[in-house]
Amino acid sequence: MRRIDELLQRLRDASAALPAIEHPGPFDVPDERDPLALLEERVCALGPDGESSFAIVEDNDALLTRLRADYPERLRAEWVVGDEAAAPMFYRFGLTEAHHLVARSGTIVLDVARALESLSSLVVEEHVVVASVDRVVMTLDQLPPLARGAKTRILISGPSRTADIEKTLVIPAHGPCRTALYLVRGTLDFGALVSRFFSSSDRGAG
Amino acid sequence: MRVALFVPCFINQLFPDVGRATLAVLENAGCEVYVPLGQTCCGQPPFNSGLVDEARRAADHFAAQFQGVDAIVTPSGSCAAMVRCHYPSLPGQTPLSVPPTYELCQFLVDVLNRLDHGATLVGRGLIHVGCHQRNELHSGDAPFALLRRVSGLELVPSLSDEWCCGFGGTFSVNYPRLSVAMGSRKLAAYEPLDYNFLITTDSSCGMQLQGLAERRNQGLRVLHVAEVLAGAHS
Amino acid sequence: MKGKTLEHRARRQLSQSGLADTLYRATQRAVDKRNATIEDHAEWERRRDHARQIKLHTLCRIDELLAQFIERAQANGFVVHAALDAEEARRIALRICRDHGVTRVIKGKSMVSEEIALNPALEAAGIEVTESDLGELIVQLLGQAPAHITAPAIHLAVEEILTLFRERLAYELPSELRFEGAAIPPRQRSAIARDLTLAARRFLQRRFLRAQLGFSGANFLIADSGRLVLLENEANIRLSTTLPRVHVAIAGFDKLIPSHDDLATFLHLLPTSSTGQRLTSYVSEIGDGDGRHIILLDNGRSQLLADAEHYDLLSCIRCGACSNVCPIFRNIGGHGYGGVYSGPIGAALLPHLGGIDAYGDLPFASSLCGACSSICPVGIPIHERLLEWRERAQRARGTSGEKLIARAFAWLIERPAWFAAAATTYPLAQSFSRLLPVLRRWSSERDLPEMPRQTFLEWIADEGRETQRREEER
Repeated sequence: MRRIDELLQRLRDASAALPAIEHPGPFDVPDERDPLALLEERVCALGPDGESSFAIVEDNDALLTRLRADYPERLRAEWVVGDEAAAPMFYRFGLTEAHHLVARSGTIVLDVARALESLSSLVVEEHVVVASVDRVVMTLDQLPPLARGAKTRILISGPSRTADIEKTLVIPAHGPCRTALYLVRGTLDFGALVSRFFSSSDRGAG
Repeated sequence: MRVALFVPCFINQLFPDVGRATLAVLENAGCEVYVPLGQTCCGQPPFNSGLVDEARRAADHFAAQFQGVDAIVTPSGSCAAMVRCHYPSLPGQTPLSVPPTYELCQFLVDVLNRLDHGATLVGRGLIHVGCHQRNELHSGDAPFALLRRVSGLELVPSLSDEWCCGFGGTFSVNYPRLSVAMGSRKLAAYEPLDYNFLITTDSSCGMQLQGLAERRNQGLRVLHVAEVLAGAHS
Repeated sequence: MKGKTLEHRARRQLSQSGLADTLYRATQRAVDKRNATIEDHAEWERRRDHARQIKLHTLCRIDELLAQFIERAQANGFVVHAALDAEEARRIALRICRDHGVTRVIKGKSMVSEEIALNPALEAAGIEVTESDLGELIVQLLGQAPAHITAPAIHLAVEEILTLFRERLAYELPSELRFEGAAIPPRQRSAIARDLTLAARRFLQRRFLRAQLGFSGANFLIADSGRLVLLENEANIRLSTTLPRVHVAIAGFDKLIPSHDDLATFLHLLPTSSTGQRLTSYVSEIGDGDGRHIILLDNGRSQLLADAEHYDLLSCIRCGACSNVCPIFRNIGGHGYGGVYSGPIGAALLPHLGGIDAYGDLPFASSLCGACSSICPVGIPIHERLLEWRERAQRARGTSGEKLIARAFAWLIERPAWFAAAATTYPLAQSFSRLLPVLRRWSSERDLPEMPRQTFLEWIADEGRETQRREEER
């Protein structure tokens, strides 16, 4: 604590003579484009070789049907869902609910109580993300504060990548190779989706 | 409009044709041009070496030479930037009072709003806009606006268009290896291109690139933008 | 070997065949991508001004805002430490490792950890340190320092990395990628780069799982939320700060921004300036502080803060864009600067952080083209800071030959007739250019222009009427 006070004292002394500069206030970004269309364009552009996909479905039932069709191996493959904290490396799939989406940067926003709860977006080969269309904002400036109870926010814009060797883009580096985004019109019921998607009574269909 | 022509010292000394061409362009554009014979140097060499007191003496001399005009015009982005951007920060008891100073292209485009000078130059030209024109005067587009209207001239873009030529005043002799390496890279990018000449806004950049090209027998005909714009009248 | 002056290091760097080719290619690509992204970003210039104002506002109220950050970070569960210099920072890091019985550390990319020379200190204490950023891992295995603020292995060709991985990671090239000769054929470069990346991924996965402590820097510290923000593309930082039990983040106090609402502006500016991306693949805004430590570092920064002319250098967000456009950097790379930070911002910062004796020549090694100032996303007039360093250096020096020459030059400037007369010596000087050091340094590799028959002002005087008429009219 003594060192902290010492540092603060140093800063108080050093900044005393600096000109007083006001905070510029919020930054306003007028943008007339359609956020949903832009989101689709930007999400797809982040995975030019099919590493990112984008789909909109009508309601929770349609979403379930779509996921069952796209992931027929759902009961055999290893999944990590939502905030399961156990972590072998790596799972085949992760299923996550996004709290917000940002159109301009094609960003998926996860609000979690602990970073460890975002593993379903991290230690997986393919990251499946579901959200409601009304969670789309235009720019990062318009993102609301963290969800109640959340202390950490993770922004995901495209698959894990590196270009450290001769600027050659390589996907993935350490995280997921693929991100699939499914938006549902109306309110998403993530809990119900998870229990129905993994319901053993559907085993025969898997 | 009454303007004073400032011809930077090395242009006066080594490239007098550029001075004559600038005078012709300005007169053809309807300006009343005044050339103070007591003009010398804007003071950039000592300024770039950190010798600000000597630079201030140069600035005082400059200010005394160029009074009573609406504008000062010079065929060098670098010297114009010295006056516009750096004179205000020079130390001294009294504030410096200098009429608004412009690089030639900047003056023609922003002040006179006159883009077409009736010039003709047949061929393919590379363009090198001096770095101070782009990064200090923020007038990097002005030469293009003028050159696009020169009849017969085709502009050849190069990967190295925005790269520094490596001159940098005293830098060119204090760090000759770096200076030469920078210029050589710029020239190397020209090699695969099909061009007839290089048009520049600053004769100092032209001197660096031409000096390098001549030493290695790479043909490079350098023209100052003023010479191009005066083309049809000489 | 570390050269004493930039001149020495530049000579060494320039003589490395292919280095400048690699650097020009990589940096130009980053700049082109940045420019393309900005075209779609109508408010870019306004955003830069906004960011500069936020940063300068933060610096003038840094004591209050940092106190607020510390209080909120502690409330979030972080353990906050302060280190006045590098030695203290290393001591704190080692103490945390000891307290938790740590023998294996995984690291996310952090320039500040380079600044405090953390890795050698940890290794000396018997701790295994693994850099998890691919570029950092490569330079770590080579025993080198990062060659660029954001792209540590920017100076290396695939061939060099292939050799390195064969020697150090027992890497074997898959049969379908084998090639003849020393140079990789162009068609295979990206396939081999990809396979090398996957080899590093396999190597690092084991290191992630067995590390007991993750070490990171921070891109931003948010005062009003007590959270720290990390940007990356690979997910190695997320793994390093999520999987191990303990996380230690180290950051200069200059990483502070006032509010969560300010973050968006910097998230717009940083990745675009750095790589041309609209946003990095991952941004972690970490506020769950249990098991996490933050070390706040001064190490010369508060002294710079007190420098009212230069304190805006502390607003740098380490995007590396100034290096990417810098013709000096493109020729000599980060290792030419002889310090942790490189490029134009390094040339302006190092004399502050590392002393004028060691780094006083860096501000002189610039053509002052100003490309750095034009690209800087937080609007630091970097080349003007270099100019001011030159002024300071001259003031600190006694009388020198250079000063006497400048004084004589100023004397001539004030006397047009003498100035003109002095210029007539040019043809003489030209013919003796081998004897005059200044001209020799020009003419060893460049021709000098010929002296024309008459100067422009002589012509004007001869013509007479041009000036005279106007003189009469006045």
